[in-house]
Amino acid sequence: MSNVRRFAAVNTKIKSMVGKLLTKEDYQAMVLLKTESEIFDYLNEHTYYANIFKDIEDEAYTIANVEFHIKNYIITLYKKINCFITGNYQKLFRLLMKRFETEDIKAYLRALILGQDISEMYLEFPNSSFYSKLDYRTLSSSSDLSDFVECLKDTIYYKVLKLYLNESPDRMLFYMEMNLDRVYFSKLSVEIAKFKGDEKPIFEILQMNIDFLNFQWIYRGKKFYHLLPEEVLNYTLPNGHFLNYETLKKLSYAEDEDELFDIMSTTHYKKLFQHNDRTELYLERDMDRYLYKHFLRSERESSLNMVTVVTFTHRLEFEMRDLFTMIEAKHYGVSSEELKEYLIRVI
Amino acid sequence: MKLLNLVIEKSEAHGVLRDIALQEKIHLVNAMTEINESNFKLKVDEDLIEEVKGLCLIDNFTEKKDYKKIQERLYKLMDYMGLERVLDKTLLDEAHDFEGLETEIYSIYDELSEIRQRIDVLEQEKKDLDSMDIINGIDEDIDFKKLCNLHFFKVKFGILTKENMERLTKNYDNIYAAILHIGRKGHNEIYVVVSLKELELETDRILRSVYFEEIKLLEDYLDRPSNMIEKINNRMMFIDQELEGLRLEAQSYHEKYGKKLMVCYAELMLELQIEQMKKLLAVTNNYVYVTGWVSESDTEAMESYFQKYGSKIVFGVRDVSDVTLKLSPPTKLKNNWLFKPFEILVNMYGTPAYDELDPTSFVGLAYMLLFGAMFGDLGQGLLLVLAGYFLKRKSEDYGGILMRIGLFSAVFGFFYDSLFGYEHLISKIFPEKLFIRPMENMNSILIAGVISGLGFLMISYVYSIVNKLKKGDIQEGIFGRNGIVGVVLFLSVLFFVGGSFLNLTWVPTNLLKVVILLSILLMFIREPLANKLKKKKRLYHESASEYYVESGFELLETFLGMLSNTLSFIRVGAFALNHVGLFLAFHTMASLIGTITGEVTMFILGNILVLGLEGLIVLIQGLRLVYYEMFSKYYTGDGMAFAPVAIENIGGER
Repeated sequence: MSNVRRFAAVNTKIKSMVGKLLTKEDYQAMVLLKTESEIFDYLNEHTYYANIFKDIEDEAYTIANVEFHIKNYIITLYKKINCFITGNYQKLFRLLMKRFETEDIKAYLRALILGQDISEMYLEFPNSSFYSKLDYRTLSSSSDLSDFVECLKDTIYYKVLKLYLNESPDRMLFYMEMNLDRVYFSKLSVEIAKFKGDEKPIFEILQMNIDFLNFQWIYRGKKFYHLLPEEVLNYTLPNGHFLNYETLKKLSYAEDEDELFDIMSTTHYKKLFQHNDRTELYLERDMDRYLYKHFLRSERESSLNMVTVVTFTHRLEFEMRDLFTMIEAKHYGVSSEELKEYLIRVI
Repeated sequence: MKLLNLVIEKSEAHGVLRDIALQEKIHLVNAMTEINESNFKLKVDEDLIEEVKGLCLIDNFTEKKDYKKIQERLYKLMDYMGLERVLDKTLLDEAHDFEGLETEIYSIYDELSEIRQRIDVLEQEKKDLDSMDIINGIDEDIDFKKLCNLHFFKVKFGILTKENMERLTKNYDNIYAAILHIGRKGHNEIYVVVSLKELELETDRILRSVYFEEIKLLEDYLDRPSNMIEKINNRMMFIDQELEGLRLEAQSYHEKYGKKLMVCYAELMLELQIEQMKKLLAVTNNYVYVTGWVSESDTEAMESYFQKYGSKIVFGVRDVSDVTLKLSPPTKLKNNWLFKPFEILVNMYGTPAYDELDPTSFVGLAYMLLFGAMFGDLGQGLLLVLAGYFLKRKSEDYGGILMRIGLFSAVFGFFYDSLFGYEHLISKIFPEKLFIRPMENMNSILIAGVISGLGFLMISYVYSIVNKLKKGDIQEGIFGRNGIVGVVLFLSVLFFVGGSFLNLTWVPTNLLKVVILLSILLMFIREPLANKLKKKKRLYHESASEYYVESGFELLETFLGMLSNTLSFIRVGAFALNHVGLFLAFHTMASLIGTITGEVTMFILGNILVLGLEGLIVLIQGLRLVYYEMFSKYYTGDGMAFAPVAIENIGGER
């Protein structure tokens, strides 16, 4: 009964938001379009996105600007959802939102390592105060990488970032990104574990996310950055769903990626590793598709709990990424058939 | 308030900004938005054409000076000489050349370089030794000297969390290093890691992946742990003495340079403030544009003050009425000493808008009376005054409020004949006629509460009408429920109801009926009526039917509101009774116990409880009456406080 009180409002709100998501027909129509500006036109004429783009002047329809608007639109939706959640669940939701903070920090790090000018980067994150207590202006005013890390002194990221400041530039970003995720997901695990019992589906989602993260780190760490097996193993997160420590250990000590895939095809995720020579190409998409399907299923099965919220945030993000993929693909003249292969949503 | 616009030649800009920061009379606003809103009007003469032409190419101030270096060195020097970072504004009366000061500070910094370096080296050593403090927690008797000088092995010493150690243990068979637990200090688990020198790189990477925190052991101290601790302690003592000596030496420069450093510090704070101000300026190639609000009384003084820059500055002053609506002027609250602390209560709700009456004095008076009436006790009131006096050192405003309401509580307490909950004590000294005891005059106390409430409501209506008419809002000011018609309706209903209940024959009931009906009608059609009077074409801002439905409900709510607003003030009387009632309970308990100690305990306990609990409740209830019953009638509080630029002691916050 108490869940009705807690979640009736937010679920209704989300139902109305789900109604504004793109439909399969939208996808099918957009895939067939020729250029990115046709996509913008389609979004403006047939979808809810018209409301988001209404402030953009005709000449300002650049890819970057459209992406900027979509990203911010999503955060405004989250802000609305936030108003409908209370108590511990709001705390959890705020923590889920902190994901944006880690992503923003990654963006800063990337720019700094590539030697780009970050003095105006804070303008790209106008909603940062919603999910972060950091002052992005101060972050933007830092002169170099170590200065930037000093700005994060009072955060959970400081300790792990500082360790890698002396790493060689080609590996530094990988180390830092991995450890940011690691810190974030450990914290998330701890918080979600507090909701014992009634939030099992959320924990499952998190665990699958952890599985995929672990696999990606091992894969990238070994293939591109030549990390030591022991090292890679230590960086993996505990509490995965189907990949336990033993499997992770086997993966870490695998000789090459073929062996990696072989080991993976003995696990629950075997379906994702059956493209043979094209496994690598579709790996990321397949993982996302797997999660997407899982979300749709758990959303159907759940009623009146936090799962609806968590699932919706993921669906929204997947839609955004698909949209970006479509826009980019049109820009670079990828054929419609090929584009379909890159989308998370199956059409 | 007046809007001040300045165009300054760039060469003089710094001087003018300095003056503005020192004067503390101008509330700066962003000059860029000002210009965009085309508020920026000046008296344009022929010879100013050049200045005005410059307005075509406006930009924000982008020049940024970096003060980090000088700041760091100055702070260091001040620390060495034992100078506190306080801002003495009088040092700024005389203008100093900041760049000159800067070079001087650098030369002092160089002069002290020897002492400085020695201090730095010693402090670094102290820091290293401090971190070695962890050896206190080592249980094993290891000879570190031998261990660390092994030929083929590299030894590391540090802290690892339990969780991460577990990770390592799980995979121990693959790791080419020996990792030994040798002790614990607090939450820190201490480990020694021994690995082949050839494998040092790999080991380092693995250790990093479990966030191993290495602690460097200084070469000279390597020994068995107990000996090391002794060595460290000895050395620490020596360092402390040495540092003390060096500090004394540094302080001897105090006399020579102390004054200079303080001047430089003040100037630095000023420069940092100017940097802040620059964000609000607009600049062109040759000129700088400043916009800000000045209070009316200061305008002329400012104008004559800036005369000294002669033709290098162009001065424009505009009245509030002349400024576009988008830019609302800030509000400067002016109240006498009695009501000043209550500004904080007003600001908590919202700063009054510029064209709104400042309600502080009314709020102050109402709050003091309400609190006093609800919490009347001579003894406890005086205690509150005392508490307020001490609180004043921490917070001027809250302390002030507490003192004032405590005083009123004492005054009411006197007339209630109540001293620390004991009635009939004060009346032994003074004639009986003076007193009105709540418990014995229950009805009159309750009725008095409501009547005083009516008085407060009437004053609120006056505020409301004045505020609304000042804004030119006829619809609400005249015909609204908190406007003139609202008051007429309220009073007529009051007399009508009062008259028929108390059978007062002098009340002209028939006339009142007509007035009530007429007021209701006027309120009902207030929007079209007001728009008609203003000769606007559109009578309704929504469809007429919607308006009338809404208006009907509002009428209903108005009547409900009248009833609830008035009755709300019963609580004033009720709490006065409550106060006595609570003490009655404690007296009963005391007499039940029957002993002197029981009586004393109950007296102390009762007073603490009543002062803490009831005091808090009454504090809140009083605030509720002020905010809800009164403010909601007349106060919007959407203004902005007048905050003139002033130099802040940024370095002082540590």
